[in-house]
Amino acid sequence: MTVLNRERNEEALAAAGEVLRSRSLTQLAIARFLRNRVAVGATLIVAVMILMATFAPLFELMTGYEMDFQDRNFYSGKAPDWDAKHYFGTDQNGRDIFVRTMFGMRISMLVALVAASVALVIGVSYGAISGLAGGLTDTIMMRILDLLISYPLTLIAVIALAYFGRNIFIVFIIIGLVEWQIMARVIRGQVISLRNSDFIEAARAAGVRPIGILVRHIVPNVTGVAIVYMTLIIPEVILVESFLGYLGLGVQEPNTSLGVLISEGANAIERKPWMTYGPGMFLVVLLLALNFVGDGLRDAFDPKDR
Amino acid sequence: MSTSQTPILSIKDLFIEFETPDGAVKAVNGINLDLFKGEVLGIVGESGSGKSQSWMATLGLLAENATTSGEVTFDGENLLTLPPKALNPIRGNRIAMVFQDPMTSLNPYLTIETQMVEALRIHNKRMSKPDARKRCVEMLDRVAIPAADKRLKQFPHELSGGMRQRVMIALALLNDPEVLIADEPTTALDVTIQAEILDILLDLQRERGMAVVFITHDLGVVAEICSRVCVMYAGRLAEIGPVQDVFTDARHPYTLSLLKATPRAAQSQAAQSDDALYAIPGAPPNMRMPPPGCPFEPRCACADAHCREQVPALEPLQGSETRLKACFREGSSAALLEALVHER
Amino acid sequence: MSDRDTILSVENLSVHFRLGGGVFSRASIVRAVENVSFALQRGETLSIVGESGSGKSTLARAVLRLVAITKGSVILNGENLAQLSNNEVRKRRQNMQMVFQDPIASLSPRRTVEQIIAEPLMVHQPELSGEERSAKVRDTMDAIGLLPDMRNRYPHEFSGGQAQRIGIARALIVEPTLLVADEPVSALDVSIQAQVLNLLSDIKRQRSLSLLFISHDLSVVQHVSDRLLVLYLGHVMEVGAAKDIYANPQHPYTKALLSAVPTIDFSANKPKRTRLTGELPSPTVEHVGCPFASRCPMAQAICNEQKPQLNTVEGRDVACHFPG
Repeated sequence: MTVLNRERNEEALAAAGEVLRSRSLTQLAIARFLRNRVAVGATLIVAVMILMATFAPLFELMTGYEMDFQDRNFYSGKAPDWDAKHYFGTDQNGRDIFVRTMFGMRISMLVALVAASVALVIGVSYGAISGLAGGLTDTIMMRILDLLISYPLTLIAVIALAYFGRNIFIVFIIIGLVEWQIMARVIRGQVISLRNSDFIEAARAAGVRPIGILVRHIVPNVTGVAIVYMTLIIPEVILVESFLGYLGLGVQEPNTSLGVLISEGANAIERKPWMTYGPGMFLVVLLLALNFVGDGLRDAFDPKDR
Repeated sequence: MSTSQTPILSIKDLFIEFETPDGAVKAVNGINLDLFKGEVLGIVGESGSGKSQSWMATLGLLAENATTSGEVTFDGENLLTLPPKALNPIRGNRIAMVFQDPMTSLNPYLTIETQMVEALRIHNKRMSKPDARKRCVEMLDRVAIPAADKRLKQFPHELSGGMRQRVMIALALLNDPEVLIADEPTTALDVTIQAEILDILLDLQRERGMAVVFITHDLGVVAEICSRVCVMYAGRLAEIGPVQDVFTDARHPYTLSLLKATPRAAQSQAAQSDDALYAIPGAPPNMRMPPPGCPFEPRCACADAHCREQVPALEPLQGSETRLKACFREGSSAALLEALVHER
Repeated sequence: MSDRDTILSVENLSVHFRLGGGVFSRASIVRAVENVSFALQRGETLSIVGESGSGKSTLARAVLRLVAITKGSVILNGENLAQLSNNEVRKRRQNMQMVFQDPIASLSPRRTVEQIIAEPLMVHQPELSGEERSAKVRDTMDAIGLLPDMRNRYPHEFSGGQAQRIGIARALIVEPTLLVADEPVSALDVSIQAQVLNLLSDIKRQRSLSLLFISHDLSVVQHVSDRLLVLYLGHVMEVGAAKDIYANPQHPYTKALLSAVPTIDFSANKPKRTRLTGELPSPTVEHVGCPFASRCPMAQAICNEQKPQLNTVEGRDVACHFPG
């Protein structure tokens, strides 16, 4: 008897109308994400803000930032004045706060990108190695992690900045070093649950080397989670930077960040409350939007929905 | 195994559709079925046949994205249109259900006693706790759980799979239901444990005269305990009739193919190890786009163009009141078998 | 049945796991497999049958060195796998492949069918060029009855039966001498089971493959087995030619197992079912007597005191004081 009566089988399958567009899991996730209106809206908002930050110099031109700077005594500390195109008012140096906010966003977003990337790379490596190794190695690595988490951020930041000076990139790296621990934990958990799955055992049974298993089977299944947590780490990173900026430990003049701006505004809050409104609003909206994007991504990648 | 003329539960023109992001899945496409008092009705089907969904619908247990139409008549009421308030006194009380996986059906955080007593007192609000407890012990004894007293205080994970399933059955029978729906209750169990559970079910059924609906994909189990069998394919009924008749004289190509594809030990003790099983070519259809005609047609060795265009209605066999089939082919079981064999 | 034809020889194999054990409690030892021996000839199918807790899956994995072997030897193609290092075993995996119970879960979700089937080739025959690999994948898919345009699809798009065929293709592409199938059809519908079982039979014949078939389903096993080994709590109960065992089981457990299988038999002289009493004993306790004694309808005093050895009765090996 022939194997499967293959022609009959093919006929039968074709007749059943198996019309399937081949979609990878990533494509399915994207489709699911796009169905989530809140997440899509939030993505658009973030995209707009990125655009605004990129084109900050344009705003500068629009409001005549430079010119006003010459007459800063005249323009300093002015309340929001729509006719003069100072939508958020000016600060004590006569600089338009709206423009400052745009520039501030640039720095904040740059921090987000660099620091989050640092956190990603270190976190994923640490977590994956710890999860795959298991046993004593894993235990030791996790206890080191616990130790690191218990150290206060401010202390580390102050010490580091005192030692290395207020270099902008040092700031980024410090923040990244603080945030990677969460990523490490999350990735480790994911790797541990993957380690026991059938397809990993199948790969072992096929004779794949441990490196091969890591690269071909574990990493692709971990990137989803990594991306989701990236979008949740980014708001934290921005907040941390703002906090450092508020303490005066952040970026130096003439660069500014949202945190620095809010700090300056806080100093003058009794007499010139408007100085915090602009940057504060942008910060809040940015963080909220990023959180929604992160939520949407997490839902999109959730395997239970498959 | 007696049957009376009026059915205790009647399903008419039942359609179930599920809304999914990729389109509507037509899980059940027009079922008409009667359940009589005191009988054990077997529902046989593979995955995608709609066998579980049809009976989940009677108790209102379908997922939120399901739309149903048709009637499920029980005691003069259409269960499908009853609001939850009216449905609750029936659920677990007059119609009870036992599911496939006892581990996920029992709450792992509550003791057996808590869960059983809850099931009792929801429907018997005036029952005192000691009385309820006594009844639970009785029920556990009845399903042959040793040291029932002690077992009550235990948690589900402390019991073996077979015991948990017995607890599920006891739970279902606490309120003396008129109908028991068992959805693949022994599929996840070892064969020796399965045998014990089936014996218990049969004993209890005979003792209480309740109607049992036994949903399974295992033809052997149906042959062992059911009086009537109903074969489903792709959301439709293929064949209905008394078990012995249907299995020895199948009239629907799908039933026949299924019987031939079932490994032999389940058919009789004598078999050869070289015998190849009859493999039904192809696979069950995509329920998002069911074929316009008979759903089995793409895989049927006896099909012709007519089968592709029109859905055969479920009709009684010539000269029989108890047997129905949904197929355009007439002819004996042997003739169908010839066609199947020759197609290979 | 010369020695030259024996592909696999398992001798006194035991697999024990340590469970739990912390600062305040001692670890318990799960004796999953206890002193199991059998041999597999070229082109033969040996089925290992048992219920849950029998240790059959652990046995299968021990043979493939996917779990650590506590005692005993596993001799494949003349070499004792129990004594080789992990890396040495890895290199020999070309000769011993596995098919898993859950077809879709055993396929890597983010890789295409082509990548999945080609992977063993990449590992064991790295000298092949990309084209040569693709050609081999195509040929294997053809032989297994998989449509070529499935190559770029992902596991989650397939049904159980098709996914299992992909798994079989992956296992066979490196042309192993031994194929271990761990409950390969348990998760499939009856009509698909038949397809996969027929496929396995045909392939076995075409390639002179030796098949170790693990299952709990006696009716499925009857169709594929040449020989049968019945396992209970990690111990061998009965082993011999499948035909003989089905026709005339000697061990009380085998008899109970066979009689428990639901049959489509309406004749008046249907054999009555043997009822088993009691519960499965704990696998952490070391058994002094026969492990089946607590549930055996024929148990006597000696059954609790002395573990029965494998004796040859009616042409097969039975571990019982009172066979027949």
